[in-house]
Amino acid sequence: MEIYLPIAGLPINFFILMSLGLVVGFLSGMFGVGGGFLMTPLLMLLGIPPAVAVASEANHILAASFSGFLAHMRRLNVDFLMGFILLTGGIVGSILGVFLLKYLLIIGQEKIFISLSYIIILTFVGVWMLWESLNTLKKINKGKINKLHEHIWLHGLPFKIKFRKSHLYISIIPPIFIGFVVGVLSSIMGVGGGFILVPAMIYILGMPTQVVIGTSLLQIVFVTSVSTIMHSYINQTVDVVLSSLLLIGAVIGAQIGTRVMVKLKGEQIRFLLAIIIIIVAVVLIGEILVTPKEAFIIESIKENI
Amino acid sequence: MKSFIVIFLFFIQIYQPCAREPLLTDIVDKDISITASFDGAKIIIYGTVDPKLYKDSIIIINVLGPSSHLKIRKKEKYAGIWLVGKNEMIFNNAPGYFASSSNLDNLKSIDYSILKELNIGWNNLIISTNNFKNDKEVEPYKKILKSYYQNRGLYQIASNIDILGESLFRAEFVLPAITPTGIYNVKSFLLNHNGKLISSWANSVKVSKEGLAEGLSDYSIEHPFLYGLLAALGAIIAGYIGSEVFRRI
Repeated sequence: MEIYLPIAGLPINFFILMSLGLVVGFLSGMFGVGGGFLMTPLLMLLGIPPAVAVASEANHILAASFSGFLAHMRRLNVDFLMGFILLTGGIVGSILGVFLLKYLLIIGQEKIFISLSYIIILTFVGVWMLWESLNTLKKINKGKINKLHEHIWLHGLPFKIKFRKSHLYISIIPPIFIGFVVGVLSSIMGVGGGFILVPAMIYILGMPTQVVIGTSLLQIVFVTSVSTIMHSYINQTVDVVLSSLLLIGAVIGAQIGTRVMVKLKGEQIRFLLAIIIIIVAVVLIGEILVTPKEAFIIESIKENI
Repeated sequence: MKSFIVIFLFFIQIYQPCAREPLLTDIVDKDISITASFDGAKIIIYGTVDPKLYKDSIIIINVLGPSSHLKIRKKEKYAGIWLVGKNEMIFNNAPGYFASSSNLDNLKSIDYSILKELNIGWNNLIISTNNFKNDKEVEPYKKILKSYYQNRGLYQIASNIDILGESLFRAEFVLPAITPTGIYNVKSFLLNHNGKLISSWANSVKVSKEGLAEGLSDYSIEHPFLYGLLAALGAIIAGYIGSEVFRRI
């Protein structure tokens, strides 16, 4: 069944979009990541113009992450205080990111900067997470009890507050800084930042994995709301028919993802997420190494510059 | 369709005595609408040639879709990595669709200068750039655009003008599902066997979005902020409904 997408300007199969939405929704509910980095290239592969793919994807992730967020909230797995502190840093970071992107565009190096920095971050985070979660799984098998979290020097900084939900008493400087970095990244790369935020909350802040996922979704809900409105306002590239078709699958997938996630242990979730992050990194590396089928980019522009 | 031919022939009958146009064409469906189930369309053209001139004459039909500004950048390999190169070409009036058909197998027998003068064929299509580059620099980008269109059915070269009778002919152009919206200019040319232009005729077809597709794309342009706000709100409501439904099962 083909349905014409009014903004993208092409017809697309209803069932393909449903199943794509389902997969991304599942990842979102299970790992607290938006999944934009898997979805946007897939949409482009279906022939959807990149600008429309990115913008409609933000709208779709909003539905998936809100659905997942509500499910986590009911299970009391969201640390609101931590979420809002991360968000404060995130807003400042994303504004700065817009200016940084403008500067990179002027010097003409935005592509190399974006793809290489993302590949390096994902590879590093993925491999490290895989190694850590495997070690933890081994330790548990041997019967060793691990500590709730490692106490590192970052936590000893001033302005300490109690995060009851996360069982933490730490300085607010690291969360603000993490939120800031994720904000910068999401502006530059046009992604929600879940792939960076989830490992950062687990390893740098030492939050319990279950709480991390719900809190990450809270952040993604805010980021994607803003970017849906901004993309629509500035570029008119949000295709609601496309995002509606995707989000039918997404809200269902997110609920299933949440249910699977509560049955798993923290280190099992981290292990699975590590594998997904490594897959994404490999795909991105492939993208810049493999000879493209069409070695050019054609964009339609509004005015002659 | 049959009634169209009847009306068309009737129209020619009453038209010919007074004007004696050597070439006349008309289009079956001048308004093509893109609806929610749009999956491509066809432009069907009927035409007639003055019977005295009909023998050995050459008919060429060009269809040019609505033009737009396009920015083309090449991908290049730097140190084993594919990156988007720095150079770019901006075309100001690149047609979004290009098709050409004739009753000859190829147009090689026709003098190149005439084709160029009439802008027949992709090579003779003039696309203006505002980078003020010479032909040698523009040519590779025109080639890129051609292959891009070819892969998407937006570029078609055929020799499928069907001769139906004494002086009646028919041609058909396929518009793919991704065809752009706007006015399509259909230009028909009648050349004698030496390749000299005898007559030409122009029609146009309008391709526009209709119904939900039209409403949504108009709204997104006229009220971009509200559109975004409603899109975001819709997504939140959908997320809420999904979560409520699942809570109960």
